[in-house]
Amino acid sequence: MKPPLFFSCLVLCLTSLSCERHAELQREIATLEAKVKHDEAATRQYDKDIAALDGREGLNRIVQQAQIKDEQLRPLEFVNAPRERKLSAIESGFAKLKPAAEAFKAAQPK
Amino acid sequence: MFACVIGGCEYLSKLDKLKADLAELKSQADAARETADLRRQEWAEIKAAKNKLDQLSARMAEVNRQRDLLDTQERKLTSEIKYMADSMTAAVENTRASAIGNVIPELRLEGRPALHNAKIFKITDDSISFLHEDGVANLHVKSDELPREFVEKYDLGPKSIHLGLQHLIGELEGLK
Repeated sequence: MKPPLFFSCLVLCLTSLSCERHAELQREIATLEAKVKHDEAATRQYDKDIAALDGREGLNRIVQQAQIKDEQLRPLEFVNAPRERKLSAIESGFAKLKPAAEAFKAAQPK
Repeated sequence: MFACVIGGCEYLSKLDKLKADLAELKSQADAARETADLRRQEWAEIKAAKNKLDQLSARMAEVNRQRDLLDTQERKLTSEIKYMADSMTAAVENTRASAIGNVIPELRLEGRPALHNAKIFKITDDSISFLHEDGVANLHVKSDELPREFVEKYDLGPKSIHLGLQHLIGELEGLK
Protein backbone atom coordinates (compact mmCIF):
# COMPACT_ATOMS: atom_id res chain seq x y z
CA MET A 1 0.00 0.00 0.00
CA LYS A 2 1.25 3.45 -0.94
CA PRO A 3 1.84 5.85 1.97
CA PRO A 4 -0.71 8.51 0.81
CA LEU A 5 -3.44 5.90 0.48
CA PHE A 6 -2.63 4.51 3.92
CA PHE A 7 -2.65 7.97 5.38
CA SER A 8 -6.03 8.78 3.79
CA CYS A 9 -7.54 5.61 5.19
CA LEU A 10 -6.20 6.43 8.65
CA VAL A 11 -7.65 9.95 8.52
CA LEU A 12 -11.03 8.63 7.40
CA CYS A 13 -11.05 6.06 10.19
CA LEU A 14 -10.15 8.58 12.87
CA THR A 15 -12.71 11.08 11.59
CA SER A 16 -15.44 8.46 11.67
CA LEU A 17 -14.56 7.41 15.23
CA SER A 18 -14.37 10.98 16.48
CA CYS A 19 -17.75 11.85 14.92
CA GLU A 20 -19.33 8.87 16.65
CA ARG A 21 -17.91 9.88 20.06
CA HIS A 22 -19.04 13.46 19.51
CA ALA A 23 -22.57 12.39 18.64
CA GLU A 24 -22.76 10.12 21.69
CA LEU A 25 -21.74 12.96 24.00
CA GLN A 26 -24.31 15.26 22.43
CA ARG A 27 -27.02 12.63 22.87
CA GLU A 28 -26.09 12.26 26.53
CA ILE A 29 -26.20 16.04 26.97
CA ALA A 30 -29.60 16.24 25.28
CA THR A 31 -30.97 13.47 27.53
CA LEU A 32 -29.69 15.18 30.65
CA GLU A 33 -31.06 18.53 29.54
CA ALA A 34 -34.47 16.96 29.04
CA LYS A 35 -34.26 15.37 32.48
CA VAL A 36 -33.32 18.69 34.09
CA LYS A 37 -36.18 20.41 32.28
CA HIS A 38 -38.58 17.71 33.42
CA ASP A 39 -37.44 17.91 37.06
CA GLU A 40 -37.54 21.70 37.00
CA ALA A 41 -41.05 21.64 35.58
CA ALA A 42 -42.11 19.15 38.28
CA THR A 43 -40.56 21.37 40.96
CA ARG A 44 -42.41 24.40 39.58
CA GLN A 45 -45.69 22.47 39.58
CA TYR A 46 -45.15 21.24 43.16
CA ASP A 47 -44.24 24.78 44.24
CA LYS A 48 -47.45 26.03 42.67
CA ASP A 49 -49.57 23.31 44.31
CA ILE A 50 -47.89 23.80 47.69
CA ALA A 51 -48.32 27.57 47.47
CA ALA A 52 -52.01 27.07 46.66
CA LEU A 53 -52.38 25.36 50.05
CA ASP A 54 -50.19 27.96 51.82
CA GLY A 55 -47.15 25.71 52.18
CA ARG A 56 -45.92 24.64 55.60
CA GLU A 57 -48.30 27.07 57.30
CA GLY A 58 -51.18 25.59 55.37
CA LEU A 59 -50.12 22.09 56.37
CA ASN A 60 -50.13 23.06 60.04
CA ARG A 61 -53.56 24.61 59.63
CA ILE A 62 -54.91 21.51 57.85
CA VAL A 63 -53.51 19.21 60.56
CA GLN A 64 -55.10 21.39 63.24
CA GLN A 65 -58.47 21.45 61.45
CA ALA A 66 -58.34 17.67 61.05
CA GLN A 67 -57.73 17.25 64.78
CA ILE A 68 -60.64 19.53 65.67
CA LYS A 69 -62.96 17.71 63.23
CA ASP A 70 -61.88 14.34 64.59
CA GLU A 71 -62.64 15.46 68.14
CA GLN A 72 -66.06 16.80 67.08
CA LEU A 73 -66.86 13.67 65.13
CA ARG A 74 -66.29 11.09 67.88
CA PRO A 75 -69.09 12.18 70.25
CA LEU A 76 -71.49 12.70 67.34
CA GLU A 77 -70.89 9.18 66.04
CA PHE A 78 -71.18 7.88 69.58
CA VAL A 79 -74.59 9.58 69.98
CA ASN A 80 -76.15 8.71 66.61
CA ALA A 81 -75.86 4.92 66.77
CA PRO A 82 -77.58 4.32 70.17
CA ARG A 83 -80.16 6.99 69.35
CA GLU A 84 -81.01 5.19 66.14
CA ARG A 85 -81.39 1.90 68.02
CA LYS A 86 -83.63 3.48 70.66
CA LEU A 87 -85.81 5.22 68.08
CA SER A 88 -86.15 2.01 66.16
CA ALA A 89 -87.20 0.16 69.34
CA ILE A 90 -89.76 2.88 70.14
CA GLU A 91 -91.05 2.75 66.58
CA SER A 92 -91.57 -1.00 66.70
CA GLY A 93 -93.21 -0.70 70.15
CA PHE A 94 -95.59 1.88 68.73
CA ALA A 95 -96.29 -0.30 65.68
CA LYS A 96 -97.46 -3.03 68.10
CA LEU A 97 -99.65 -0.71 70.23
CA LYS A 98 -101.19 1.30 67.39
CA PRO A 99 -103.62 -1.33 66.02
CA ALA A 100 -104.82 -2.18 69.55
CA ALA A 101 -105.33 1.51 70.31
CA GLU A 102 -107.22 2.04 67.04
CA ALA A 103 -109.43 -0.97 67.81
CA PHE A 104 -110.09 0.30 71.35
CA LYS A 105 -111.06 3.74 70.08
CA ALA A 106 -113.31 2.27 67.42
CA ALA A 107 -115.09 0.15 70.03
CA GLN A 108 -115.77 2.97 72.52
CA PRO A 109 -119.39 3.95 73.19
CA LYS A 110 -120.62 6.94 71.17
CA MET B 1 -0.35 16.41 7.60
CA PHE B 2 -0.21 19.77 9.32
CA ALA B 3 -3.95 20.30 8.69
CA CYS B 4 -4.69 16.93 10.24
CA VAL B 5 -2.75 17.83 13.39
CA ILE B 6 -4.57 21.17 13.66
CA GLY B 7 -7.93 19.48 13.06
CA GLY B 8 -7.18 16.81 15.64
CA CYS B 9 -6.28 19.42 18.26
CA GLU B 10 -9.45 21.35 17.48
CA TYR B 11 -11.48 18.18 17.82
CA LEU B 12 -9.90 17.25 21.15
CA SER B 13 -10.57 20.70 22.55
CA LYS B 14 -14.24 20.46 21.45
CA LEU B 15 -14.48 17.06 23.05
CA ASP B 16 -13.08 18.40 26.34
CA LYS B 17 -15.61 21.22 26.27
CA LEU B 18 -18.44 18.76 25.69
CA LYS B 19 -17.20 16.58 28.54
CA ALA B 20 -17.04 19.60 30.86
CA ASP B 21 -20.57 20.61 29.79
CA LEU B 22 -21.74 17.08 30.46
CA ALA B 23 -20.21 17.04 33.95
CA GLU B 24 -21.81 20.38 34.79
CA LEU B 25 -25.13 19.20 33.43
CA LYS B 26 -24.91 16.04 35.50
CA SER B 27 -24.47 17.99 38.71
CA GLN B 28 -27.31 20.31 37.62
CA ALA B 29 -29.51 17.28 36.97
CA ASP B 30 -28.69 15.83 40.39
CA ALA B 31 -29.58 19.10 42.08
CA ALA B 32 -32.81 19.40 40.08
CA ARG B 33 -33.81 15.83 40.95
CA GLU B 34 -33.03 16.39 44.61
CA THR B 35 -35.12 19.56 44.68
CA ALA B 36 -37.99 17.84 42.86
CA ASP B 37 -37.83 14.93 45.33
CA LEU B 38 -37.97 17.30 48.30
CA ARG B 39 -40.95 19.14 46.83
CA ARG B 40 -42.65 15.84 46.01
CA GLN B 41 -42.20 14.74 49.61
CA GLU B 42 -43.53 18.03 50.96
CA TRP B 43 -46.48 17.90 48.58
CA ALA B 44 -47.21 14.27 49.54
CA GLU B 45 -47.30 15.29 53.20
CA ILE B 46 -49.66 18.20 52.55
CA LYS B 47 -51.81 16.08 50.23
CA ALA B 48 -52.11 13.30 52.82
CA ALA B 49 -53.18 15.81 55.48
CA LYS B 50 -55.63 17.41 53.04
CA ASN B 51 -57.06 14.00 52.12
CA LYS B 52 -57.52 13.17 55.80
CA LEU B 53 -59.28 16.49 56.37
CA ASP B 54 -61.50 15.88 53.33
CA GLN B 55 -62.40 12.41 54.59
CA LEU B 56 -63.21 13.77 58.04
CA SER B 57 -65.33 16.52 56.48
CA ALA B 58 -67.21 13.93 54.43
CA ARG B 59 -67.76 11.80 57.55
CA MET B 60 -68.91 14.86 59.46
CA ALA B 61 -71.39 15.70 56.71
CA GLU B 62 -72.68 12.11 56.78
CA VAL B 63 -73.00 12.12 60.58
CA ASN B 64 -74.86 15.45 60.45
CA ARG B 65 -77.13 14.07 57.72
CA GLN B 66 -77.87 11.02 59.92
CA ARG B 67 -78.52 13.28 62.91
CA ASP B 68 -80.97 15.37 60.84
CA LEU B 69 -82.74 12.21 59.70
CA LEU B 70 -82.97 11.00 63.31
CA ASP B 71 -84.30 14.43 64.37
CA THR B 72 -87.01 14.20 61.72
CA GLN B 73 -87.84 10.61 62.67
CA GLU B 74 -88.01 11.56 66.35
CA ARG B 75 -90.27 14.56 65.71
CA LYS B 76 -92.63 12.49 63.55
CA LEU B 77 -92.73 9.64 66.05
CA THR B 78 -93.25 12.00 69.00
CA SER B 79 -96.15 13.75 67.31
CA GLU B 80 -97.79 10.46 66.25
CA ILE B 81 -97.40 8.81 69.66
CA LYS B 82 -98.55 11.92 71.55
CA TYR B 83 -101.60 12.22 69.34
CA MET B 84 -102.41 8.54 69.79
CA ALA B 85 -101.77 8.70 73.57
CA ASP B 86 -104.03 11.76 73.98
CA SER B 87 -106.85 10.29 71.94
CA MET B 88 -106.44 6.93 73.71
CA THR B 89 -106.54 8.58 77.15
CA ALA B 90 -109.72 10.42 76.16
CA ALA B 91 -111.25 7.20 74.84
CA VAL B 92 -110.33 5.30 78.01
CA GLU B 93 -111.76 8.05 80.24
CA ASN B 94 -114.89 8.14 78.13
CA THR B 95 -115.33 4.35 78.25
CA ARG B 96 -114.73 4.23 82.00
CA ALA B 97 -117.04 7.20 82.70
CA SER B 98 -119.84 5.70 80.68
CA ALA B 99 -119.47 2.42 82.61
CA ILE B 100 -120.10 4.02 86.01
CA GLY B 101 -123.51 2.96 87.25
CA ASN B 102 -123.72 -0.08 85.01
CA VAL B 103 -125.24 -3.04 86.81
CA ILE B 104 -124.12 -6.57 86.13
CA PRO B 105 -126.82 -9.04 87.33
CA GLU B 106 -124.33 -11.79 87.98
CA LEU B 107 -120.57 -11.25 87.90
CA ARG B 108 -118.89 -14.65 87.91
CA LEU B 109 -115.38 -14.60 89.39
CA GLU B 110 -112.63 -17.18 89.41
CA GLY B 111 -111.99 -18.83 92.81
CA ARG B 112 -114.62 -16.83 94.71
CA PRO B 113 -118.39 -16.47 94.87
CA ALA B 114 -120.16 -14.50 92.13
CA LEU B 115 -121.34 -10.95 92.82
CA HIS B 116 -125.05 -10.27 92.34
CA ASN B 117 -126.37 -6.99 91.01
CA ALA B 118 -122.85 -5.61 90.95
CA LYS B 119 -122.90 -1.91 90.20
CA ILE B 120 -119.68 -0.31 88.97
CA PHE B 121 -118.96 2.81 91.00
CA LYS B 122 -115.24 3.39 90.47
CA ILE B 123 -112.66 2.44 87.88
CA THR B 124 -108.94 3.15 88.31
CA ASP B 125 -105.96 2.04 86.20
CA ASP B 126 -105.65 -1.26 88.05
CA SER B 127 -108.99 -1.96 89.73
CA ILE B 128 -112.80 -1.75 89.55
CA SER B 129 -114.96 -1.19 92.61
CA PHE B 130 -118.44 -2.74 92.70
CA LEU B 131 -121.40 -2.19 94.94
CA HIS B 132 -123.33 -5.44 95.14
CA GLU B 133 -125.99 -7.17 97.18
CA ASP B 134 -123.52 -8.30 99.84
CA GLY B 135 -121.49 -5.11 100.09
CA VAL B 136 -118.53 -3.60 98.25
CA ALA B 137 -115.88 -5.39 96.22
CA ASN B 138 -112.66 -3.88 94.96
CA LEU B 139 -111.25 -6.20 92.32
CA HIS B 140 -107.60 -5.76 91.23
CA VAL B 141 -105.94 -6.61 87.95
CA LYS B 142 -102.63 -7.52 89.57
CA SER B 143 -104.10 -10.33 91.64
CA ASP B 144 -106.10 -11.64 88.65
CA GLU B 145 -109.39 -10.97 90.45
CA LEU B 146 -110.94 -9.20 87.49
CA PRO B 147 -112.19 -11.18 84.50
CA ARG B 148 -110.09 -10.68 81.36
CA GLU B 149 -112.92 -8.97 79.43
CA PHE B 150 -113.04 -6.13 82.01
CA VAL B 151 -109.28 -5.64 81.78
CA GLU B 152 -109.50 -5.31 78.00
CA LYS B 153 -112.73 -3.33 77.89
CA TYR B 154 -111.52 -0.63 80.32
CA ASP B 155 -107.83 -0.82 79.36
CA LEU B 156 -106.61 -1.72 82.85
CA GLY B 157 -103.38 -3.00 84.35
CA PRO B 158 -99.68 -2.52 83.75
CA LYS B 159 -99.96 -3.86 80.20
CA SER B 160 -102.70 -1.43 79.21
CA ILE B 161 -102.47 0.34 75.88
CA HIS B 162 -102.60 3.88 77.25
CA LEU B 163 -99.85 3.15 79.79
CA GLY B 164 -97.79 1.58 77.01
CA LEU B 165 -98.14 4.76 74.98
CA GLN B 166 -97.19 6.90 78.00
CA HIS B 167 -94.15 4.69 78.48
CA LEU B 168 -93.12 5.31 74.86
CA ILE B 169 -93.49 9.06 75.37
CA GLY B 170 -91.24 8.76 78.41
CA GLU B 171 -88.68 6.88 76.33
CA LEU B 172 -88.79 9.60 73.66
CA GLU B 173 -88.28 12.30 76.28
CA GLY B 174 -85.37 10.31 77.66
CA LEU B 175 -83.62 10.68 74.29
CA LYS B 176 -83.36 14.46 74.70
